[in-house]
Amino acid sequence: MAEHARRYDELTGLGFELAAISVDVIERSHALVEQLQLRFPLLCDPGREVVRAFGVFNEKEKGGIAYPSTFVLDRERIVRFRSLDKMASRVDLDALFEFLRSGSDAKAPAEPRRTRVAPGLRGFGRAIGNMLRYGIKSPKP
Amino acid sequence: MTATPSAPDIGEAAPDFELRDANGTNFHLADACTQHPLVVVFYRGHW
Repeated sequence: MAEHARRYDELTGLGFELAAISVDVIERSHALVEQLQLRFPLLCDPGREVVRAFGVFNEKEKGGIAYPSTFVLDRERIVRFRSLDKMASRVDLDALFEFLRSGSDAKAPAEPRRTRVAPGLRGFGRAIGNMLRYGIKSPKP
Repeated sequence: MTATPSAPDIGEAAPDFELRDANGTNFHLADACTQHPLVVVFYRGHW
């Protein structure tokens, strides 16, 4: 967490925002925010619902905590990068920043620009992809 | 054993959620994403 705090300016300078999540209760997280002077939200998931929903719940350790993991989401909440090393004690930040710097189109606005050659194409492809995916899995309620 | 969803893959939508932050402020993932692309970091906690 301290490492993320140290590189927060670098991250926002690349056009991204940061949110951290743990299963700690608000009081404990608040103490950490004060201690590290965090400028990004430290979200509290004591019910483990979000940790479970993201598939990063480590039920074997300390009453159930999150595996260290990172997701980069675009403006439509689509995962563009993820790091799920369940063995590592911390996520490799260099790999994350390499992605953030790569000029990925994760920063593209949600509304396609008119200047694009085929503005609707990506969304269309995604719709087809979703159709295929949710045709196989059961759709979410 | 209860089924735990697997982590959303690249190209898939992340599950939306609302949580309180350490200051008690509500955080809605979908709203935050519309402002900026977002790096979401899960960490082990302060144990």
